[in-house]
Amino acid sequence: MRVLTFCCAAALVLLLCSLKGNAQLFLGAEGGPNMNYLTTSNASEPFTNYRGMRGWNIGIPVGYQFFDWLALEAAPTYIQKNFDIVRTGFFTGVYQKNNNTYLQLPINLRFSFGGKALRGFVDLGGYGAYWTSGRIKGTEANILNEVDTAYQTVNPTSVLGENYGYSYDQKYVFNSTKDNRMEFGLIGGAGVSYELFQIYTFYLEGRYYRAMTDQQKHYELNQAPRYNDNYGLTLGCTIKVKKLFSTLFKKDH
Amino acid sequence: MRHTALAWLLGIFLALTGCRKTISSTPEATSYPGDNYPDIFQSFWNGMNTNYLFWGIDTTNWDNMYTVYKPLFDKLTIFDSPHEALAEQYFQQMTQGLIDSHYTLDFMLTGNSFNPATYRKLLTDPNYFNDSAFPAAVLDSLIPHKYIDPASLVMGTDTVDLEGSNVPFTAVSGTVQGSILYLYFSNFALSQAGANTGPVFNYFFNMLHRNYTNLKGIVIDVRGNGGGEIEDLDYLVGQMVTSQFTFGYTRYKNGVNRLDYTPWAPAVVKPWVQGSVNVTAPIVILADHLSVSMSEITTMAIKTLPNGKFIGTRTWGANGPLTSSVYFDGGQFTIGSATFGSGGYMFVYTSSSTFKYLNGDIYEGVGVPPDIYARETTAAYLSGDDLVLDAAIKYINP
Repeated sequence: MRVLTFCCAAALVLLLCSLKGNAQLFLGAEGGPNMNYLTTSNASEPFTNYRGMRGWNIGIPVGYQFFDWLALEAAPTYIQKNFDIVRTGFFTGVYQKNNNTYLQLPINLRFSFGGKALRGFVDLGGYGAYWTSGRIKGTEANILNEVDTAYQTVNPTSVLGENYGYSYDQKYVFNSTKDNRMEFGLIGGAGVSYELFQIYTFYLEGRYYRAMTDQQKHYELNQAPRYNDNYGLTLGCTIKVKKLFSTLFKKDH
Repeated sequence: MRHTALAWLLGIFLALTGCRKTISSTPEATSYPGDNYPDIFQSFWNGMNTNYLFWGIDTTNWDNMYTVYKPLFDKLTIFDSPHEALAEQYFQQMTQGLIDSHYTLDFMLTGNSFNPATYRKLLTDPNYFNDSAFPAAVLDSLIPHKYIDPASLVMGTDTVDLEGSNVPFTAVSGTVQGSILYLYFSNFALSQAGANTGPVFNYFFNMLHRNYTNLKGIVIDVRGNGGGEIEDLDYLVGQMVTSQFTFGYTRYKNGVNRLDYTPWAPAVVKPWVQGSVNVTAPIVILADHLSVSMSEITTMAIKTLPNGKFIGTRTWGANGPLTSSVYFDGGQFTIGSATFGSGGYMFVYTSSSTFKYLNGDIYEGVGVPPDIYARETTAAYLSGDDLVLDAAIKYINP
């Protein structure tokens, strides 16, 4: 939480500095879908797969353009990092969808290149995130809710033919021993932007958020770590604040 | 300049991406060699992390076991009898505090086994298994002949298969004082009832379905019952109810680390598919310190009923239902691959799920407490009384 506060303060300082000097401050809105994967080890769990799941993110980018080719950007973001645990074969039907929401602050340098209006860019940086909430939805075979006719007819063809499934859709209750709610990681991205009227910049970017910290606290020896790998597509628009103000000012006179 | 800066940053970025912890894939416990003590230890320790259902409740410090016992197993460099004795001793010391009261280590080489719950019970009470006159003596000479109305007595013994072993299966039924329906059975293997025990259950269920409105009460006696098949829950209790009810919750493993658990799923009894009646008379279950597993689950199911009552003593404390580990990604597992044949070095018999009673209490390792305490004694037996059945009769017929 302290890191998040620090990052917000840094963004605010940038904003104030740019209003006074010649630099170009920009701010805007962005959002888009993402695909998240939980990278972990489950070799000892038979017929069990961890699969990626779609989510979405929405953010408010605030940036500072040092040169035409270099900018510093921060974008407080609401982002979902979801994943799915799915059992296969005889156990098909047993699954758990994990929907996790983070408040994330990415800070990155944006290197841009190309013409006046249409430009390409590359983003590199890091982020801090706080896991605010989670929701789990799934079905598990229920050992004390047997299908009473299972053994009187033919062999069951699935675990849910032997035990009725218990379906749930509930808020995830954090475990303070287990869950690491702070996440830090790296950002890499590339995209194209188009500037309109020298004020508005529209962009489309592919982004990769690579968590470098475990989703769990270190609570046991030889623990299998879990990392989020998030691939997103972001559509956004920023406005050059100073240009906008000067344009408005000219119009007023 | 821009290219230099970008190149530097890209280099730093790529270098940092490699700074994650290594994700090593922990192999299945059976994948380790079964004739190398350090590997056997590693396999067992990992298997417990992944498959044991009571982490977070159990107070055993499993990391400390690793720190203490890994160096000791590393010193067992020869796979022979003296080292085997030491290895078994270490495994017993590591597990003696585990609360899972199903938990048993079966050593394939020597045929030895170790059950921590038995170890602890004998430590606190050396007469734990000897100071009860039940079940054999009471059943042989007391209940069938003193309590059950002679004309109604049906009893028999068959042999059934429980978890791959042939065990004697005894059942007794009849009426007590004309209007209390009594049923005893030694294991939960009702679906395997044969020529001798089949008539016992036929009598009980016929009486239940035809005369339940005339019954003053029902007594189900699971004292000394070591448990058995889960499907008997609906078959027995489900014939005495006409609507489904929840009596507790179970949860399972859903990840390889210790605290990876599923949500709690309701444990239910459903009316039996081939017919049931709504028994409103008192249903009393008699259980004792030797009632294990399915006996305890059935006890909790019956005591949840508005007309249910548990009379006896605190049960054994092995409540977590159990099946093959592949079903629930947890529970029993085998350590080390065998050099020859199908067995490994050691079989770890442990629950596939954790059971929580309706009130939120987990009775694993401590046993289910009775609603009314009553215990048979040798003195009472010798004077021709079953104090527990007496308490049940008094409760039904005050």
